[in-house]
Amino acid sequence: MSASSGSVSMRDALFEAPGPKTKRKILVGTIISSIAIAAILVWVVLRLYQMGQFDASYWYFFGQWSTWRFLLQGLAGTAEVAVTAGVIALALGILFMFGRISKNRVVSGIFRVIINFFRGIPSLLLIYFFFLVIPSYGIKMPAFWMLTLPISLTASGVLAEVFRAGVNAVPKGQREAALSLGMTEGKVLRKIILPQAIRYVIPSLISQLVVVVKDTSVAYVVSFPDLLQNARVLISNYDSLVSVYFVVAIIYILINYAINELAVRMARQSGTKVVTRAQENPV
Amino acid sequence: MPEVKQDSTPMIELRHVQKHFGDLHVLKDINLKVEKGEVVVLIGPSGSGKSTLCRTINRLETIDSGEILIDGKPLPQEGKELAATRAEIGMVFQSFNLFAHKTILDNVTMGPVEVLHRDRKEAEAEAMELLRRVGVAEQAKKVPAQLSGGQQQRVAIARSLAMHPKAMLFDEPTSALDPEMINEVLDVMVGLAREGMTMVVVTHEMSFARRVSDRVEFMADGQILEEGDPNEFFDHPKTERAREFLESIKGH
Amino acid sequence: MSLQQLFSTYGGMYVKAYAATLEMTVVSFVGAMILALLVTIARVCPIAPLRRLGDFYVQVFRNVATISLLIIFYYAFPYLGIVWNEMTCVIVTTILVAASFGSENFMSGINTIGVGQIEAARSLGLSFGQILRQVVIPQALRSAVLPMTNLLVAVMLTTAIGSQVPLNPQELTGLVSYINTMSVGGILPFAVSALLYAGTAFLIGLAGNAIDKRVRILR
Repeated sequence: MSASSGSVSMRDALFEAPGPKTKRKILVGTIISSIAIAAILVWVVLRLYQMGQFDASYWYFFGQWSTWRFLLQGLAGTAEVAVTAGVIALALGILFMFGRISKNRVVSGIFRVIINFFRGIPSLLLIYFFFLVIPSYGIKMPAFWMLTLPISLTASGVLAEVFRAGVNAVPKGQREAALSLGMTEGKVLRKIILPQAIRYVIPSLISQLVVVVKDTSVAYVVSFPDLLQNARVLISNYDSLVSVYFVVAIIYILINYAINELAVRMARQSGTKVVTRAQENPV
Repeated sequence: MPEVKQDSTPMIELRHVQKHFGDLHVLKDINLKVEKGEVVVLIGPSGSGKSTLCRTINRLETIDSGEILIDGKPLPQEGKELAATRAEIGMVFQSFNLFAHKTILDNVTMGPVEVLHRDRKEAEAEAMELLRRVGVAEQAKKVPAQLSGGQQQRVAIARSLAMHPKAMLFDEPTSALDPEMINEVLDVMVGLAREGMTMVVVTHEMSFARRVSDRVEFMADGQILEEGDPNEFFDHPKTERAREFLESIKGH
Repeated sequence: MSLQQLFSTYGGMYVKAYAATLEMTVVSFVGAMILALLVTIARVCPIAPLRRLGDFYVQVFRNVATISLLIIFYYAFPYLGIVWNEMTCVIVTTILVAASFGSENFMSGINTIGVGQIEAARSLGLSFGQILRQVVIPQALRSAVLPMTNLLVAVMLTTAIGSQVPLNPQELTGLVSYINTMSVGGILPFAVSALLYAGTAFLIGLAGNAIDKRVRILR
């Protein structure tokens, strides 16, 4: 699921410069929809107020630093898992990609199966595997790894394909030119193709970080203290469910929005071609 | 009052047309008349506003003030009237703009079938005739991506001709073509001119201007600086600006 | 537990669970497509408040953590007087999130078309509705096949959040958790679910590729 830049130009071009009658119609439409949206918002706020959701008892603790510190600690947990899983996924992703593009049919086939396997299962399922099955084999794994490893595995499947799309996007002429200079295939891949491929897909990689962050939110399954887990503690402490869950949802939205904006900004700055997941083949 | 339509009504007329793009004054008091059957070439350095001028004629660009008249009637600003006027004026673009998902034949029949509500079979028969005329009949079942630039542009011309337009606008029709393909497109355009089509052509191709155009309008910085007979203009330009410009493109 | 034991005891539940996963996937995907279409129309229309609303929707629902959204519907909404059953909560969550990505896919599809074709269509005298029907929608849809295939797989994987609420019948992920509470499952229950997911995803991918090959537009 990718970030798409450039959605602005076409959507403005679909409608041409309006003539006077059309301008009036648009104005009427603008006024009506503004009023409608405002009305709905007001109604929602009023209803919430009537149900007592704005009671001080549900919100006062947000004025206390201890509350935010606790949430920030949870967020640190989320970040720990996300960054670690991200780094592992990057390494594994490149590794899997090399296997997939190998000239050897058997190797390429094996890695194709591996990649499609990890892309085709929910990270939750893999987390359950680490949580429920691995201990039964006598392996003692801390909650952190029970969460980070499965997330990194599913992400690595996706990243392998992202990298492969990047490699395919490098103009074929580059490989030919490098070979004719006397480089070996391996050197060409490492020194010429890979650096460019990576630059093409940086925005996609950053967007994938969003998926990783979202995956971490099931940390409570393994009892790892991430943002959501800490939020639940807050809820039981202050007996305030609605407000806390909404605030946490908003925090996730803001964090991921920031990450996506970073991706868009990097895409714009780099000026080079950007290869998004939209252009990948599903298998 | 009964309208007595004289044949001396200009096909296209621009009166005191002004246009700004933000702070940029791109069209400064443009006055232009194109009579029926005339071929007018707009020429000038890039940024002179010649493309913009061409595009205001079928309202792909709007104007801030002034009037544009098509066959004596003001250019409509919106709605069915605008669509109907556009159907009467063909346009050929620098980047061809064929419909990528349709076959060549479907590209040419799109206008007649959807806008003129003609019978599909009739439209297809005429479309094949037009494709034969511009020399790409064998490509009828292919999609645009399978054709060369020159072939695509000729299809684009056929697409406009299928609408039986009163006039045709050409916005740098050969600028995106490889040199060997320019002539095949220019030949089609010369043929149209000789048949009496009213044409407004934005181009650098002096050979075309000399062969068939009735008048050259030289534009720079949003103004029409010089106009006149093509050979006169190319051999003895009157303004300094025109002289500089002609020097700069002579190398081709 | 051996494979035979697994199937004799839980075989029936696996079938139900797979059916539940597929059912939620299909219902959610269809709902998401419809919502994505509406959101895209809003984002593309010339009325500014609607555009902003559509954009806001996409930013909220592509960035929210899916589980936190499910939790709000399942645990928080009852406090607001809205009580939905487990299945509804899972499906609504999935639809809302998937629709945001669906809209992004539609927008990418629209972007592949290019302004030139729209201007050419306009110059021919085609009305706005005709331009949409003849030029924009066919090309946008055909360009969106691959991303939508990926989205369908993503929707199927998202239904795993059903394991976090007491769904009845369980879906494939919840079933694995259930089997492990009832007995020492070992790797097998997990492997069966995993293969069902991955196998289905693979088939969906094959179908998507095939469709794309047939309808893709050469440019």
